[in-house]
Amino acid sequence: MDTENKHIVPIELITRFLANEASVNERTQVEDWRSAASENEKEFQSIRKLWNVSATLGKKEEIDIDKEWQIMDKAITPAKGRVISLARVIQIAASLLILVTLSFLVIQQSKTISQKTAVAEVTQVTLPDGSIINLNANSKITYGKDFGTANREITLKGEGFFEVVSNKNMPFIISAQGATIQVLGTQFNVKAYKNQEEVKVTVIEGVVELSEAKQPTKKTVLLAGETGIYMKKKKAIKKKPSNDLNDISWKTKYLSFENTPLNQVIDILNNTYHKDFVVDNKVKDCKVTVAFRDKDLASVLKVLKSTLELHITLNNQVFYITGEGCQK
Amino acid sequence: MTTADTILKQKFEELFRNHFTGLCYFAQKYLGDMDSSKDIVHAVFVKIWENRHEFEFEKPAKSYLFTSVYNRSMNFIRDHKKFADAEDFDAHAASLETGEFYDSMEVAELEGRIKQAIAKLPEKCREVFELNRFEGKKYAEIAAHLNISIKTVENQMSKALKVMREELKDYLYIFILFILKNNDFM
Repeated sequence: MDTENKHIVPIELITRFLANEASVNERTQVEDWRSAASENEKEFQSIRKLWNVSATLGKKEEIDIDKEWQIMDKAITPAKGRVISLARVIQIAASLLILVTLSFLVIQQSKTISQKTAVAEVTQVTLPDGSIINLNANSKITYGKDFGTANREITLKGEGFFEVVSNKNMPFIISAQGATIQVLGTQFNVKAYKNQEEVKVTVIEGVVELSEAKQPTKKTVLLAGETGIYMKKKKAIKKKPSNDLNDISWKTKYLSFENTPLNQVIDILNNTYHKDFVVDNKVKDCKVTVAFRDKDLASVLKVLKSTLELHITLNNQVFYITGEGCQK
Repeated sequence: MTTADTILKQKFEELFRNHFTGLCYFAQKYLGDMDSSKDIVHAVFVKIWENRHEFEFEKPAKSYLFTSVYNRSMNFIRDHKKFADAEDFDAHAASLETGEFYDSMEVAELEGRIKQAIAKLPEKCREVFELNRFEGKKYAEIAAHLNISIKTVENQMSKALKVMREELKDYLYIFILFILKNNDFM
């Protein structure tokens, strides 16, 4: 974009305008420029924001960011050349021994290790092999104590975003609601909630093999940008391009809608932000076209509220969404 | 330090410099005291550094940072029992449920970013800008006060806005997109 052309009104003039030092003629010039294009108005608004907020900052304490960074830098830089006494070495060795013994006992007691999330919680789990799983709400993973040494097998209930560390000798295998997902090292999302009819695998990077648990040889290969769907009832697998960023919005908080009915938008918000919603029938078919990047729920709702003229009330942790409805 | 460590540290420093001031203002709103606020924000960043290998520096971290500072502030208040009764505390704690938390977050972030941008202005430019914005002096008054021409005042004022606008370009643009759709905001 050519920024020169957008500045038909020079910043000097905008400054004078904001400072109330502009003549009537100059004010008109600025007003005309503002109404000429929405880009101009946005430009003006952002400069005015800067201007108005500045006025309130005189009483705000100034923070010397260089000094603060030095403090932080010192705090995170390990001290060099520290001499460790023999007594300290023995002390460390002793605590390590206790730790190892304890871990051994704990491992002996449980054959499997599991991690689960609550109704409205997202957790990040790092597995023994270094792979990372972001578990969405209401989800659980279980794996054996020999995970990472003898195998890389894991069971998933619910939804997880996987970033699997590459290991050509040991495939990473996920069992999820009758489907088996096998990979070597890659990034993908698996949605396998018990109460949903499908298991959905969205591949972000690399190659993923999806099969029915009972027919492990009949594999469907999924590449980056593809979504594999295992239909639980039919016990069949289908494949489609994953053009829907919203599939992984619960992890990325990137949402985009194009003529999407409000009730579908709300389902996605529910999966992303883990809040409950009740949508009035009058507005459930209102079409939404908007994109959000890492916005919190309050911001998303504000935009929906003003564009669709909705009423949103929060009562007992549930958002109630009503309104007059939209024109078809 | 390995190259990977150096890159991590650069990203960490950038995150720190972008958000530190706003986070302090945010904590101060709840704690009142700037020293405790700074301590809390430092602690949040130390925690991020400890988990640096898992932390996703590529993703926007604003909500995470503000939520962490908020939680630590609430714990601090609880531990130090600064409030006379539990009701005040509940009122503060409840603000996370309403939009108040998000509004405070946006305001504190905006204030922090602008305050930092002002601090980075060239000295003369900053002096003129602060006399106008902080003390409400007219161009002519500033000119007389500093013994410079009104034209110079004008130049310094627009230079200040130009530099700050450039510095905060991406951030302000997103912010404005948001408020244009939400006229009730602020």
